[in-house]
Amino acid sequence: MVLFGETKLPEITKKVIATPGEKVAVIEEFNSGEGTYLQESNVRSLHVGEIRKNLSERSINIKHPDSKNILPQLGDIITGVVETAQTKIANICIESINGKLSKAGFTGMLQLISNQSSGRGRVKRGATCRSGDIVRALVFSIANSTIHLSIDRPDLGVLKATCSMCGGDFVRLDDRLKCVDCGFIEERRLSSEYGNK
Amino acid sequence: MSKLLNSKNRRLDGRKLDELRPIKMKVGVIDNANGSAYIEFGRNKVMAAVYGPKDVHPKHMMKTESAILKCRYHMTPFSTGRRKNPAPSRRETEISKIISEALEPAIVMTDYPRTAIHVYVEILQSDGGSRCAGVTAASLALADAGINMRDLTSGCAAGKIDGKVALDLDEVEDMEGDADLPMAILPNLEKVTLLQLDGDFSHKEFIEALKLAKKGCLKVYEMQRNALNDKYFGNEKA
Ligand SMILES: [Zn+2]
Repeated sequence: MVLFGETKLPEITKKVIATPGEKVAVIEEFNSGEGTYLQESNVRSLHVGEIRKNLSERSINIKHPDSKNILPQLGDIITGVVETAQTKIANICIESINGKLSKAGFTGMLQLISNQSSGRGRVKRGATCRSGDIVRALVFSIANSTIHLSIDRPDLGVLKATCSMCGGDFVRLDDRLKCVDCGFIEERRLSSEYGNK
Repeated sequence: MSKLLNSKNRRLDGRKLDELRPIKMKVGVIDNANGSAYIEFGRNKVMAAVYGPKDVHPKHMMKTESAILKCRYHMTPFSTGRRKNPAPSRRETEISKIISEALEPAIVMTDYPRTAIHVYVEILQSDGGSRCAGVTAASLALADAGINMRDLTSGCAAGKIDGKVALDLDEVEDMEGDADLPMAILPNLEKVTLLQLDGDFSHKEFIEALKLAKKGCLKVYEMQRNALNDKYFGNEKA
């Protein structure tokens, strides 16, 4: 029995917008670019969006009006809050990915005793980060279902911290932090942009 | 003993045999969800919301190569004539599974490894064919969430009343009629992802009902497209 033989869905030739599944081109005309997929010889849309034809690459792309599904990918820069910091690893709750807010609640893992360029000895001397700190980090691996983070770059590291004794604000003294309230001095692996907002 | 059809084959609400109930759709109605949709399908009033892709809890449910889809179909206590116990019934558990299976083939699950996609379908007011309305609303909510999808999922039922094949049964027709055939399809990929049968059809009637349900699904699909275009592109018509 043929159920779909006579199906007539509207032919799309001069459309500018597409919804998921819509045929936007055939492979003879255009390659399947971003936001599209190839089904047999049909290029179809993966989401709602504007159809953009790239004539130089002969590809068709669908630009989503406000793409909000961002998963941390290799090479992304994330900002997050340190949930737990142990001696070797810290778990970071990711709050933004490449500057875009993420409500998905992904957790990344930051290896604290890594081969950071600042040298092992120095890193071991004090805490790299403590729970509650705001950290900027790079996603360097997503192996074994874990988002592995690195802060091995001058602009990466702790962006903001508060005193672990009294909760007061810090002032930066080179690579250390001094509490304005109680005078306690703590060490962190600071980002070059510490305190900038 | 004809009671659901009059002598001119008109139904109790005045519809022809191959006519859908009035349908309204709106995309993006809940600010706090990643995607949402509201549908009225006859007297059905359905709200669907999507969260995710997000972190998986508990962790052992996580799949390293793809997302997991968690779907909940729920009827509010005020959705039926008599107050419904809000605890999930066997029927709701079954429909949750059916809806999940109808949606999953449309979603590119491998684009979201190690994540969960949560779909909540809330029946605010129930009428016949609420599972089809639920699938349709859920698919719109997924599209609104911007999740990569191979196609939309569009649902509509056909059935048999007073011995005649009819499209889109309402609650009375569903209860008093002879058969109900809920269906959901991926309209562009020409795949059936939900098909159930409650009642009796002859082979000929079954084929007729199947074709009629597909016609209904395609009409629903057109409305889904318009609803998405309305949300994202306002008056620029597709
Ligand atoms: Zn202090």
